[in-house]
Amino acid sequence: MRVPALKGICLYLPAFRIEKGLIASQYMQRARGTRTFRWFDEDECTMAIEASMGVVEGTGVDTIGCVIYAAEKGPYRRKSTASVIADVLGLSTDTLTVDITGSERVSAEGLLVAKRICEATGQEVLVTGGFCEHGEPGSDEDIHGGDAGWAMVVGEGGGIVLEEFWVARANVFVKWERGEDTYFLPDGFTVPFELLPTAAAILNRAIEKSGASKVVIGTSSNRLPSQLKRKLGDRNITLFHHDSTTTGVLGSASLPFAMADAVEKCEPGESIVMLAPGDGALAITAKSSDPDNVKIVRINAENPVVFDLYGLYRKIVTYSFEEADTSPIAYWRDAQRIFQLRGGKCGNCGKVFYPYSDLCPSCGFTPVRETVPLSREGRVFTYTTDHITPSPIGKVTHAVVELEGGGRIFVQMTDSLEEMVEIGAPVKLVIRRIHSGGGIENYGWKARMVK
Amino acid sequence: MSCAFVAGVGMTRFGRFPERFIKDIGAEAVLEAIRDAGVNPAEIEVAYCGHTRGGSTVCQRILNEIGISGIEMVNMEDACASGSAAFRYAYLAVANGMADVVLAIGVEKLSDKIKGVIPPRKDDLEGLFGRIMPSVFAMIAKRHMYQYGTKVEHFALVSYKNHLNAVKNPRAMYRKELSVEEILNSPVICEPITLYQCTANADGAAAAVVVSERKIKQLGKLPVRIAASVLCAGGARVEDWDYTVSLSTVNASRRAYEEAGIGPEDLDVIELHDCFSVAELVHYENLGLCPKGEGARFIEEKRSYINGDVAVNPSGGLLSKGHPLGATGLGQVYEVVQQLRGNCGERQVENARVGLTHTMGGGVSGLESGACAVHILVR
Ligand SMILES: [Zn+2]
Repeated sequence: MRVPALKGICLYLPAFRIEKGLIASQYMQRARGTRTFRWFDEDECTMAIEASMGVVEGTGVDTIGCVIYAAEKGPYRRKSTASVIADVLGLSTDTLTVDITGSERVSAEGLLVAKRICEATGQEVLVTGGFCEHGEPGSDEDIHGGDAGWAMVVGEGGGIVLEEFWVARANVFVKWERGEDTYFLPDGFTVPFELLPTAAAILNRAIEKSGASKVVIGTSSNRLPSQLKRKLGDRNITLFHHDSTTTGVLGSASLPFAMADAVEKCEPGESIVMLAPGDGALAITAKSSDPDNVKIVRINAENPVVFDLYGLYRKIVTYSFEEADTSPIAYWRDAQRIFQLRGGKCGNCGKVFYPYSDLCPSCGFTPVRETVPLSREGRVFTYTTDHITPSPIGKVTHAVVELEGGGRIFVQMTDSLEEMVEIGAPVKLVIRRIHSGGGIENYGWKARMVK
Repeated sequence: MSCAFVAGVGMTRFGRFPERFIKDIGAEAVLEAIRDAGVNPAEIEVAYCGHTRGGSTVCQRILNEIGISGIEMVNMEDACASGSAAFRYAYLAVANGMADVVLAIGVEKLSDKIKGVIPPRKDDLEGLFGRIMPSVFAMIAKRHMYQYGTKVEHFALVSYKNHLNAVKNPRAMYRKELSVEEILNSPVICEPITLYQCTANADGAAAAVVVSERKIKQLGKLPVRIAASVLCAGGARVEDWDYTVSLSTVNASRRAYEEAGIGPEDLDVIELHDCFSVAELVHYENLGLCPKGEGARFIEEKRSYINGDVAVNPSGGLLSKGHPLGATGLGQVYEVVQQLRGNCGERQVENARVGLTHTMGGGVSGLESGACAVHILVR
């Protein structure tokens, strides 16, 4: 009998925030707190990749047999985002890749599918997703939305055992639907009528069955958790939900963010109910066996860069790359040669080089044959700030990075408005959008400063 | 191998000629070169034409314009070194006894094709990652500053000198003296390179008639001998490669010096590939004109000025004369030949006897350049 359990959670926030009040004030509205926003070269896929690389860092990817991308939407309409992520992680081509899209409860659905796959096959499953919300200028999405990526690993031997699930279908939407009903929230979001009783009913059943003392709610609504709490009667329950005050609401990413908080406060033997509203609600019960055995990684949780220019913020989040000359061939090449960041290592002189070539560029030894994974950490060897390449911030910094353990790579720097780059500065390579065209999104390596 | 000589040269003004066809631009330079050589067009046995964006059979289109057809014609592409490749193959044809009279043409019309920087190729890894030529040279500049304490003013001085030279060259594109301040204060392209430290894409053509020893005697021209011709692809940028070194320039120039039996100290005039100011500064070192790391001192002490140790880019170079990619190499040959003949008027290098041309072309991932050509001409 296999016991699927949560082994790790990685939460990724973009490096940038903007005051919600600043956005709201442009439209004679008010709001408090900040929201996160993606850099112009980020999207749901790259944020999921950041989190995925974070959750496997140190443990490797050899045991992962399946990747599930679970998010409201992805960059492609007819291509699997999970496959892009598996390519970047360097997973073998027989790795099962699954995309799940739909409502806000999609992250819980991904977790549930991961549990089933692990039960059936014993394989470790990476579940990951990204959330971006900006909408039209002045919209609720613009003011209150947020951007994030997340990843969780489900496998045997994890610290939080996934047990049962309950689902109730109700024909409602939770996504910020504006309407004239009574659940019109002060911040402009709507909780439709049927959702509350539906969610409360299955939550009560899940708590009764599992004896849970902690409830994790994955919702965009700041009001729904307290409404649900009232429906739980006098039970002694601690509720966890992602507070959107500093990040903006994170849609389906809310659940993993709240889950990480709950796991950190969880005692061995305690039970947790994860509740994800959306087209009704989905509840999963979990029992903590060894909560310290769940690796929790947070990227960019601290020291965000706070923007004070609304126009520039909009320019960044709506930036579209110049239509480039790209093709499925370019994508195929990228997946083979670029995503995995593997270089060649000469069997004769020992030099490491990128990209791989059959002949050693240093000593001419042939054939090299051996490819080696290159480090994502490195130092700036040389750089320049380019003022003519199009970019929403008017400049792009280019750098040649010497990677730890060998290999040099030319990349653009990202995640920075100001030039802090200098020769010798430590940087980390990240996957970002490089160019797009003809329905193809091409991703590639860039570097960001290590603070 | 036997000797080969340049009997005649021709060159259009470099600039922007949107109203002219590429064949007309090319024909102007070819006619001048043929007249200069004093050969009968019917004597031309082979023609090589270097260009990068002229489309198919440019050579045939140009020569058809002036009534030459039916001979062997080869079109060549080696990025900015295309014209130099054509010149080298003209040299080889004569030196190997294949022909007595060979025509080398370099031509380009960019004004209707490219505005500003040449876009990176998306099928090249670094091109895909956004590399553009000015950023490559800017990163070389940063390394030079880091390793040797070179200052932005030194790079600007190179541009200052070349603009000063171009004032005296009626065929140059930009003939305006610029102060170091104006150069430094022009818009930043890729730090520390500013606009006036970048070459400008241009339209133009240049041509040379290369002939055998027998023919040069028959023509009774001052013999300008091609003492060395080297063309090589860029060296690999291995992980410990020093960015301030152009491996191909070092290799090609050393081989050329050996072939010609001279050293860098024997050179009187050089036309080198100053696509950006920093390029000329590092090529002082790469060509062996000064020790490694002393390029800044070399320009500061005015040793590359027309009256210095060796006149570098007396024509104004790519920086001020303009850069019609495929025509550039033969434009350099034109200048060096005219210098050796003493035809350069106000910009004449006194008693110039030995000259060198150096052309680089293209950016390829993993290579420090695409191609590098070095020729040594002696009178
Ligand atoms: Zn080797």
